Amino acid sequence: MKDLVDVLLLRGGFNTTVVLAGTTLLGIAAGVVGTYAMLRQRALVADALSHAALPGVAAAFLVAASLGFEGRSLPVLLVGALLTGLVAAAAIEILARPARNGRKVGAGTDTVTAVVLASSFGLGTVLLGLATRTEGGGQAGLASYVFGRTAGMLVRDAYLMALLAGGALIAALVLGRAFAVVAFNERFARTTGLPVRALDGALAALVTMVTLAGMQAVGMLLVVALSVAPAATARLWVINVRALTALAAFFGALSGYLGAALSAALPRAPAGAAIVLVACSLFTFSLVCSPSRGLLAIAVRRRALARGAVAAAAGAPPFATEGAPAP
Amino acid sequence: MIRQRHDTHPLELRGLTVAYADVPVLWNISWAATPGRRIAVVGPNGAGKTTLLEAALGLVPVLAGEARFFGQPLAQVRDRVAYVPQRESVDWDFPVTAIEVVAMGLVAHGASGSSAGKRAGLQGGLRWPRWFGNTPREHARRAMGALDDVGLADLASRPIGQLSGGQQQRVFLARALARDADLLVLDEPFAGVDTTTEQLLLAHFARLAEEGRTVIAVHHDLDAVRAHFDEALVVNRELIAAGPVSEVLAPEVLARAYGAPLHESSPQVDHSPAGAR
Repeated sequence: MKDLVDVLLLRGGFNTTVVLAGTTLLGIAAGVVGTYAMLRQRALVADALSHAALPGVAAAFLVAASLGFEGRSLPVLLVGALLTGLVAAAAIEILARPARNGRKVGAGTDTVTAVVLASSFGLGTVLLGLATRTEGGGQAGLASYVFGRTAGMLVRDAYLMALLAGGALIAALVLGRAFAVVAFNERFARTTGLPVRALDGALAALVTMVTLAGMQAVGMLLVVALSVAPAATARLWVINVRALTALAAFFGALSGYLGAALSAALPRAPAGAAIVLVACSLFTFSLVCSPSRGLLAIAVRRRALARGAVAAAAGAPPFATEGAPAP
Repeated sequence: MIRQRHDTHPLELRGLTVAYADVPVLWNISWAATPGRRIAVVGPNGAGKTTLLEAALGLVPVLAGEARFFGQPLAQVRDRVAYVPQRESVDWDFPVTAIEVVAMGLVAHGASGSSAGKRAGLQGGLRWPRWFGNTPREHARRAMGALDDVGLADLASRPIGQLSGGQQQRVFLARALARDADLLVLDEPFAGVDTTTEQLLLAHFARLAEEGRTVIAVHHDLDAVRAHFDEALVVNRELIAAGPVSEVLAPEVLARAYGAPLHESSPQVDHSPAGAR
């Protein structure tokens, strides 16, 4: 407990503090980018992009190692992940054709996304197997990118993570209004001349940046939760895009900060899992307890309504206070 | 205000042909809109009325032919055109307020070619799209004016999900009005709205036509079309007839459009000359 307090107060040592700051910034970026991905209904696409990072990491390692470079360097791996992420995004965009006029053409977006997700992760697993068998591959810790591991994180890597997250955050804020217009009504946006395809591409690129930023700390399998959960949580509390963005950033930051601190204080708890569990706990709490959209509040209001209806049927005035005389 | 709008046809279709995948939906539609008229697009369900508008606006790919707006491709004159899609086409649970939806109509305003930008008369030289940050003050002012025009100024900061269907349709109209366009294209604006909203829409259409602007709307109620529109475009996969409502909505024309529908999925292209009046 004392450990946790120390870490939370940034007294956990320089390395821990840098990681903590990095995951907090990551949470903010994921919250903001995730808000627009959620509004555009691209949460599953974000998941596919993060899965597509695995074959990229493994292939980049194999290529770099065969060319005699240091395959373990983070920038090399990130470039690989970026390339396969772009390929996956393009594959979804090209292969998926939405239903028109009641007639399905080809396959729907969700189907195509699921196929791309599964096949890229399968390919990644095969390549990872090859990579770990090559010389030096076993020690490269490539597998740690799947679930994330802050323990081995260098300060240099934390800075790279902060750079990616900060860049995605700024770009999302700059394009925010256009993202919202497209998400609300794509067809209208197209007639006004907004470059809808380019904006969708930019959004996919930002999701990829957040995924890459979070790959080492949170892991590519769990980083999508950091994009989805804070935005979904914020949606339960507020009803306008600007407040949504701010609150999602706050929930993301809280998840990144608390999760990383918990994992630093409890050495056996992986940071990625801790961060995601915090994010999902916030969501679950909000789902039950939000005063406007929460399940509890709705159940209470519904019950009051039912009581009023029963009273009305019995001849009492509807919504009468207890003890009021019936007419 | 009355402006010079008689330069060219607000919308001209030249042999427009559309297919969804391998199923033809519209066949060889050629037609030109007269400026300053209220024009209804009528036809039975599945006749391709919505597709006609969407293809003209570049929202669905065209197999052959083209659509021109004021004699030019849409990309050159976007600010002179405002589109009101079907109300069901959006998620009304989206977290925005009424005024924000209206201001969305102006996000890319003034960015589609210099002449259109100048003509739009935006003060302060807002030539670049404002994609970021808060709604610019000029946009907010115009959006508020448009909301006032449709009688919803009081509900400006209400989340759109809390509005009635008729009010939502009025927000959509306000978004189009804020663009100060010379051509309004509306897809079933009267579907599922109350009488108040219907009267308000019709009054706006009359005013817009008086100002020399053109209104093209898909409408199902033929009696209302006769009473409140100047011209009609009767389609059923192909163009059945076009012209003044008194001529076009005659029993023999309507029988051709409604009475003997063409085959479910393949239009008969060679029986009657397209564009017959």
